[in-house]
Amino acid sequence: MRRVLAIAIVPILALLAAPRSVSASGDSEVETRLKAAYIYNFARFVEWPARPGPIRISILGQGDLGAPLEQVVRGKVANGRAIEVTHITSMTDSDCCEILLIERSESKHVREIVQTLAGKPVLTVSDQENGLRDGVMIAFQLFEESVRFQVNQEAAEHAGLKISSQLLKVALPWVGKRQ
Amino acid sequence: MGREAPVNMGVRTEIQNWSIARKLRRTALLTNSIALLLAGIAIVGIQRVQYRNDVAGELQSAAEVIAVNSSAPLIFGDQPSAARSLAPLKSEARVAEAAIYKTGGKLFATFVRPDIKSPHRPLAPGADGLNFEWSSIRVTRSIIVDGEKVGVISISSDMPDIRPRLYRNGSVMGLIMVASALVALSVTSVLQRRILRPIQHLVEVAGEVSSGNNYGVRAVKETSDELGLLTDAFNSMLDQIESRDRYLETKVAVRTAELTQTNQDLIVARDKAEEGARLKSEFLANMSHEIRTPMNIIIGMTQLTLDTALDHRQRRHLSMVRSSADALLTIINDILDFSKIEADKLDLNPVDFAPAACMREWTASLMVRAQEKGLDLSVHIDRDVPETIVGDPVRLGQVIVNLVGNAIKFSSTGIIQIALSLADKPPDKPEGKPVEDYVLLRFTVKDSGIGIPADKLSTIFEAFRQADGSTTRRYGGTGLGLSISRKLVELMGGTIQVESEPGRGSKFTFTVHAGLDKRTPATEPVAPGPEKVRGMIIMPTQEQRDGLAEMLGNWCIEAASIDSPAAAVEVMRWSNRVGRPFAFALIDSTSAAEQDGRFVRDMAADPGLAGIPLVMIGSGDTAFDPARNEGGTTAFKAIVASPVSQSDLLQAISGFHASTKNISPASPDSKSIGASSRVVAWAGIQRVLVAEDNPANQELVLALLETRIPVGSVRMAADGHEALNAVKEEQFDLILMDIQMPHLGGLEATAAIREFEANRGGHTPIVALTANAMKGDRETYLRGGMDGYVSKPIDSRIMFLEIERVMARQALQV
Repeated sequence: MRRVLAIAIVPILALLAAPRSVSASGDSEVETRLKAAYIYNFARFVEWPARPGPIRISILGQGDLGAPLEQVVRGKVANGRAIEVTHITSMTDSDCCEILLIERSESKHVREIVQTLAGKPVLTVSDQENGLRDGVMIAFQLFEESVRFQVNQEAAEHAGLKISSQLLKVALPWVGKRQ
Repeated sequence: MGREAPVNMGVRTEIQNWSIARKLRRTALLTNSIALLLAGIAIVGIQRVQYRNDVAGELQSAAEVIAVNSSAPLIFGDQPSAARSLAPLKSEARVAEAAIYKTGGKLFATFVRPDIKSPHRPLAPGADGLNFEWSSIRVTRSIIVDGEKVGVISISSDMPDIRPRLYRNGSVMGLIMVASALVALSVTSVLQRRILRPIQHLVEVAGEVSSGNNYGVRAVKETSDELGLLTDAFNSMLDQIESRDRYLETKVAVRTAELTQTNQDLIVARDKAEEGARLKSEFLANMSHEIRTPMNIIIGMTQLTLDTALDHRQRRHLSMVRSSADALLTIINDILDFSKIEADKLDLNPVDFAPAACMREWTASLMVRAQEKGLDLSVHIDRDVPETIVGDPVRLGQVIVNLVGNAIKFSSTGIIQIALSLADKPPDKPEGKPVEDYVLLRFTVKDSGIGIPADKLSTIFEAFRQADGSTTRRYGGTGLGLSISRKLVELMGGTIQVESEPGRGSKFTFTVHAGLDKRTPATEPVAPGPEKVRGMIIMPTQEQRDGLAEMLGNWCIEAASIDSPAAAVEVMRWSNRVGRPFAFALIDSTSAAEQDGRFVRDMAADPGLAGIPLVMIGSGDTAFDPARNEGGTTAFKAIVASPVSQSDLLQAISGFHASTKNISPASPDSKSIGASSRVVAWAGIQRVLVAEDNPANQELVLALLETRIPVGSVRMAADGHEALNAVKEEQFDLILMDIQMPHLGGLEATAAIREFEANRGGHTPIVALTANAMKGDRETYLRGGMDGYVSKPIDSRIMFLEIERVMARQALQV
């Protein structure tokens, strides 16, 4: 009984806790929920070229983040825009969305997906730590047992997105492939 | 409050006493300082608020920036990042601390300025807004992203530079205050000079006016303000005072001149009036003297002629001349006295005198008149009347003589009783005299005359009034006597009253104040009476015994009184045995008739008692007739009618004293007893010395005396020396001595004679003849060794009575 309670309460606490630390070997569910929340918050600090309508988030492939993300953004707005989440299986339509979450199942095709979207104002987010090398704009990292992320500002600028300096302040520094 | 009042008063008075200059200075400084102080406070306050608002604005914009910068760190839980977002506050010197809280209130990031030693954070997140405290300001602001509150930023400032700023401003203010005070002072001193100089000038001028009484000075007007008006008013006031002074001076001068003139007029008028009054008084005095002298000569000479052999008709005519002259003299005296009283010229002349002796003198001439009318005159003096009193015997005598004279005039039968006693003092004493220093004498004159009707009683004391208009016609007189009497009595501090019933007589009572002379102890003013002479009084009633004993006491005769004749005989026998025999015995006719005259027989039978003279006091029908006594010889030397008058008794007693000197006894006829004693008195006079410098008076006295004693028995002396020589040469029975004589006066001569007699032995009676009578010097003469006194002008009857009295006393003394 006590164990059941602990299981129920911990994730909530973890979500709210200030140091959002998760043990590397720890609870993946907490980690995925954090990442989902981050993705929603990215929408707040990024400016897209003007386009009416909701912010469309497309989840490509299969992974851990899809479900929590849908949960987090339900009923939320960012910069006054509603948020729409769709699941896609393949990258066919470059005008598919404003944010594209590339799940782990598609990690082999990251480079292709990025190339497909070249020049399109789509914020690409990857759950893979080396995603930036493949041209993804934001990639989650585990740093000092916390969930952090890195931003490829150059890629974002190429795509015509403005990433808030606030977000950049919070991001882990990333050294581009030119270095 | 009561206690604070004096202090307040003190302070207020002190401030009031400040000079105007000081007051002005203080006022300027005070208002200036207050204004600057208020302004300073306001400026500092405004600055403070402004500063605070500045700081608040800074904090708010900082909070805004930080809120933006810290939104991402908050959202992504990046505390280092949040701390970094606070770092720029380092450059904000006024920010002391800052803190970022998460929505739940959990502290997320803080900033503390390095120089803050003891931060009091974490700050509790409050509502958004500004929070002002005394020395700090805090701004709280929510951090909102997309309408979602993600945290709270709170920044506080400790306003580090406000104090120096305020100090700086304060010191600037202080400097301004000092500077403005100096300016105010200098301005005030200038104003002061402007305002105060005219005032001080006014003060100086006013001081000059008041100290120097110089109303001619004027103040100089310098300005046209209120001070100028004051100066004008002051000057016009001085103008008015000056002109009024001048007016008053002239007025005073005029009035003074008028007053001086009036005074001079008054002085002249007064001098005239005084001169007139003096002339009138002189005239009155001259008149009184001029009238009295001839009158006295008329009276004296008439009397002399009357005493010579005359036929019946001549005697009747001369008697009328005599009585008319008397009446005229009385009238003249009354009128003169009355004028004097009316003019308030009558002054009392108080001297020491013996009332008993004076009473004899006053009544002497009255007695003659009473006897001539067949009236009896009795005098009673209470024992408690002092022997010597201070008063005016002349004026007192005038009242007595007047009242008794009236009584004689209006009575045809009976006795006129004169009594003197002490009255109770009234509570209101005469001014300034202690009660013990005076007595109130009461004189009573009672007659059995015609009386006064009740409706006239109230008016008889008024001038020119008599009880009845017809009275004047019947009895003569001026009607002034009672009026004069009343005035005199009132002058002597007393009152006069009358009780009367027509047909049954009148009773006049008056009182006078008489002083008591404490300095001279009561001495016997009259020549001492017979010493050791004892008299036996045998009367049935105590009242009678006391009355007689009193009379005898007046003559210094010791009296033993007893009611039983038999007991009296025993007392007299016993007295013989102890060597103090009685000189005489008085017995009333009733007692003498007891047991068929046993008393007389017992007295005659006892050889020791047979020589004691007996005097019978007879009364009316029951009179024991001594002529019927067995043996045909009378046992009584004298018979005195009852009620007893003093003069009768004295004559009776002196009569048988004379009879012991082998002078033929008087006739036992009781009616001739007075005459017989008189004869006895004159019979004892063989040689008389008259000392008198005035030939006319010598003549008068000689003529008068030779009507009583044989011609040739009078020797004349022209002055005191001659008198003394005469006394040394021969023995006199009587000396009449004028007081005022050349070379040696009467008093000195008397003293010399008394000295001479002290060596030789014997006592010659000396009767003073003096014009000084009115001066009340009687006591002086009696004390000077004289035995009697007759005032000039000489009334023969009075002179004879006085001589008889003196001789009777002499007889008793021997």
